[in-house]
Amino acid sequence: MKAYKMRIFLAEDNLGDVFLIEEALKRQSLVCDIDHYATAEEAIHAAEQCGSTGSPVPDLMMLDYNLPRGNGSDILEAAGHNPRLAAVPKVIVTSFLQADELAHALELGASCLITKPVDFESFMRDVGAKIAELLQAGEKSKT
Amino acid sequence: MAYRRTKPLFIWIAAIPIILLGASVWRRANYRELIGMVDHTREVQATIQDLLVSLTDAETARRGYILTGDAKYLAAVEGAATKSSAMMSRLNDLTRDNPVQHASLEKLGRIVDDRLNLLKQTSQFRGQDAALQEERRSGLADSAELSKVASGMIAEESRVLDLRKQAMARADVESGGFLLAGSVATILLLLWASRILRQYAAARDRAESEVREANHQLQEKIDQLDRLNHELEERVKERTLGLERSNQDLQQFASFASHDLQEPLRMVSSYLGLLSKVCQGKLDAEAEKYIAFAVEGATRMQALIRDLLAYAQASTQTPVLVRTRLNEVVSQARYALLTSIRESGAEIVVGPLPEVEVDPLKLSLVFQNVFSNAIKFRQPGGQPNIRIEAQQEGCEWRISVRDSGIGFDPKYAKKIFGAFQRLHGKDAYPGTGIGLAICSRIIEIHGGRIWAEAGPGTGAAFHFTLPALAGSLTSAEDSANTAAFSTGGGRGA
Repeated sequence: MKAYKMRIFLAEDNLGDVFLIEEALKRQSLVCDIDHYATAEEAIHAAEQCGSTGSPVPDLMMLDYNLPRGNGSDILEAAGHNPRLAAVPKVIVTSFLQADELAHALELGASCLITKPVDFESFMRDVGAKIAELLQAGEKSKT
Repeated sequence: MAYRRTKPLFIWIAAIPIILLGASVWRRANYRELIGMVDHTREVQATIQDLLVSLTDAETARRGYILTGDAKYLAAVEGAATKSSAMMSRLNDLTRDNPVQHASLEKLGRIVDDRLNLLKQTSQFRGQDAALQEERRSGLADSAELSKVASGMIAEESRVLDLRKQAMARADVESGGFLLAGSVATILLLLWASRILRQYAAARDRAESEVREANHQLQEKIDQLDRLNHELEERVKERTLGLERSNQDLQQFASFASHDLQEPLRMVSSYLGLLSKVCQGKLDAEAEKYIAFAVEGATRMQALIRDLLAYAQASTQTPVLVRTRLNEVVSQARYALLTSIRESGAEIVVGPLPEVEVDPLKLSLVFQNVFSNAIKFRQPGGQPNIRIEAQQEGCEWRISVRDSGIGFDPKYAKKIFGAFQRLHGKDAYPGTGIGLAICSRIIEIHGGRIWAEAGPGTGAAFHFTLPALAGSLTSAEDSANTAAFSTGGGRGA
């Protein structure tokens, strides 16, 4: 199973954050394929198609909350309609989320919230660790 | 009203035609009675005449008998005698009402009796000349006497008849007069009654139209009031809508601030961090310092944004009012600040606090801000001491929080509640200066006031008011247990 590459569904409009997440994964020694979507529209479309037209099912969905043309909740809702994504852990990764927005996201199937830390070191440490934890948990449940 | 006063008068006046008509009827009855009496008088006269005729007939028959001796005359005498005595008794009945006539009748009666006795003896007088002579003489004398009395009686009756005829004429005239007067009085009374009724109807119409007019005016006023009410409702609705819109705008701003302003900040600080990591060893100390300043600036900016967001939320979100013991709110606030209370060794003494209707989460923020202020601005090297007490003033409670800190110049007592107002350099005391502004907003939306008192070096006192529960004036007493508990907990902390 060493050849198996993790696949991450990433909805994030900030390329700087995409790079920071890739950097954090590198530091955790995780080799992953990242399917990156820069708008909510693209992400929703992809979430609906996952697993049906040869597009692979991801091991983890990471969703920014505020996105162009929609938000994280819209993507969670679309994913909820796709049964192939039922078992995939979904996390909201954002800099700040209001209480009612978080409650809504959890209701729609988000498993947790990762708040993006301000300083670089914290970001590497916190986000990386959380992703590693989630991926490992997912792998265990598969095997 | 006029017709009320005229009512008794009207009754009295209404009696006049009745009296007049009554008098007319009475006089008419008199008249009828007099007709009967006139008839009676005439009958008396006729009967006397008849009696005289009858007696004359008897006398004639008697003489016939004496002269001829024919028995048929004798029978005629007896017939006339019987008739005469019947008439006498009739006259006796008729003159009973008049004593003068009655007396005359008695006299007449005696003469008639004499004559009747004579007539009875007629058969004995046959052929006796002397007796005849005597009889003739006395008969003549009787006849003269009889005629005299009868004439007297007839004359008396005529006198009475004249009197009665006069009385009859009077009664007739008076009865007619009374009838006329009664009729006129009745017509006048009817005219008067109709006038009173017209006046009454007019007064009633006037009153009705006044009532109608008053009703109309009332209705107009009601309509006007309705219109005003409606306008007011519209205005309130507009205002509410405007407020909701501005609240929404603020919420959107808050959301914008939280998401979109923080992203670029994170980019700045993260990539500065990455830069210093990548360039480690390649940069000199100066360059490292510049990067550190930039990171610190971004971090501060983020704190400002976070506090601004908290302030916006305190301003816009409507409080969820619950009956709450303030002692519990203080405990919550203390729990939230547990770390800094322990680190600073702060002592919090809580007096008896009332039960009030507040949003406990928001009010806990007020206590947190005031406590953290007291801890932050403590005497250098000293332990913060915080005392909380409540006092009822009219229909509200005044909550006072006093500390033993460095205090502040009283001229800033108002300024410190403004957003982002700071009295100290951020290097000496960290913070954005939003805490008391948030407190002020929260107390305001609860319908209370907040103010501060202090002198430099003598500690600060923050006071705020909260509306008391309706109908509970001594709720501080029943929360005394909680207070004692809280005080103990405070000292232990």
